[in-house]
Amino acid sequence: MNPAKIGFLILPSPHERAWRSAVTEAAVAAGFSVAKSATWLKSNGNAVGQLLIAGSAAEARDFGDAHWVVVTTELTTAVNTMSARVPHALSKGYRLLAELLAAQAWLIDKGVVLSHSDEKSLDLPYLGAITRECAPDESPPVADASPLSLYCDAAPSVGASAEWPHDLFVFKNAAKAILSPPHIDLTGRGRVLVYGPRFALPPGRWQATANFTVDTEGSDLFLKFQWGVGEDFHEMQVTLQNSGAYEVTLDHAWNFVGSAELRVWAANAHFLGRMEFHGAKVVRLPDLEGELRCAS
Amino acid sequence: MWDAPGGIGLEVTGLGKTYKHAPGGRPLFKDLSFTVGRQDRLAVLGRNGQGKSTLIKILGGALGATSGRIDWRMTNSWPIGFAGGFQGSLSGRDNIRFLSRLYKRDFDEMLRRVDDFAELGSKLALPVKHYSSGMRARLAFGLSLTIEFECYLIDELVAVGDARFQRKCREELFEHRADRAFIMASHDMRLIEKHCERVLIIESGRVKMFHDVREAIDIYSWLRAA
Repeated sequence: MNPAKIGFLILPSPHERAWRSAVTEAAVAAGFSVAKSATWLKSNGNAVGQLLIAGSAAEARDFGDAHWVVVTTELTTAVNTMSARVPHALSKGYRLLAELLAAQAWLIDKGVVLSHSDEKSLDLPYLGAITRECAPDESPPVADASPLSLYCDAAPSVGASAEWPHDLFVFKNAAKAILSPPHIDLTGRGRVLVYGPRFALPPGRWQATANFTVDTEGSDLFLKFQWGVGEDFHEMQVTLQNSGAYEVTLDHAWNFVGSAELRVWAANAHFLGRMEFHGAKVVRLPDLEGELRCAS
Repeated sequence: MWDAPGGIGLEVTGLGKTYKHAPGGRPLFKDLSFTVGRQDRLAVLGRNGQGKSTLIKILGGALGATSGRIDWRMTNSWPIGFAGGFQGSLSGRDNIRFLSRLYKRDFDEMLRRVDDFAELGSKLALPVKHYSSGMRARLAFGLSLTIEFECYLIDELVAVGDARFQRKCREELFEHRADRAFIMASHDMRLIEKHCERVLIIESGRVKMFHDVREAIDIYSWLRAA
């Protein structure tokens, strides 16, 4: 007999812990195996039932057919709660939250209906009605939600966008890192200069516009831009002969939820040249005709 | 922070050179500052006409700088590969005699060692102005080895002569005098990669120092190809 399978995804909110406890207690009381790893459940989960508390779309996909419960909240609430947890690593907080938001978007696309964390009780398949405890009255500090603003609507529609400022990116060996944005001396061999921020995006076509200025110091500059997930990316190479402000735009289709990375390279060795990378704007584009997406 | 091997033997500060008739009065290079350790091995790279030989000549005192200061704290050779230090109407032998007095060395010993290295034989009796550039370079290199400088200034000398002579130059310089400093302008990337610890690149009037020799060679190779 196949076990009953429940997937549970919850965004950070003041009620998150209460919901996790309530759902976990109910599942354990019903004899379910509870884990955060679909892989672990596959080999160790019992035959009665399994509850996956998912942290990413990849985990959700690996869990296979299951009844999904998604407890959402407003983007600002999620960002504020996450920032209180990682006050000194906001970029990491955005990254963790983007994983959850992208998973939520993917589940919405699969037809899952959302519940709100402010609700007092939920009806779960196999487990029945579950009531959460009241969370302590705490208001997390206000954090900037704009880097994840493309998730303002839980499932980003065409036109959804976000600005990713330079401080979300990693500057490789940038001199004068104390400056904002850091000055990049292009002198040296061909190498990656800037990369990041590895925020998860849901399936679809996404456009990134990199914003930067260069001082050519009288020589030609050869820069390469890559936009995508890991080794699956769109690449563009540019030759710049004049100092000034530039934008480079790249489109790439996400077949499944994946961590978006924009990489800027010195395409070859340079003797002269300087660069300031200011950040990037990301926009959801309409899918191209015939573009396939991973359905499972 | 870079530590000069064996302590600082040369300090160059704000060095610049502009030739009088350069188009637009454009400096060949400017604001060049660096130090060389007593056991340092510095390569100078640059495309033709960028100022490598000029820098070596200025360091060797054969050419004046337009600006800046050069503070030698070790004995330095004249630019090897550059025959400007010879009196052309004097024979090779007389040039050796002149330098033996100038540097307070024993003439007979110096003559023997120079001839042993340069293999000029009876040609040493001829005026230097009748020497080929290769012969002049052999004489200059032989003399500089005999005087035993603490720092050798080399401008592509090792490209002179046949393979056997080149091998001899490399052995004398890089093996028998492994404890000396040298500053070497060359287009021979393999030689630089094998023997140098730092690289100075001169390009379009700008000068940059590289501690990663491989990286400097990458940059220079790209400049040459561009």
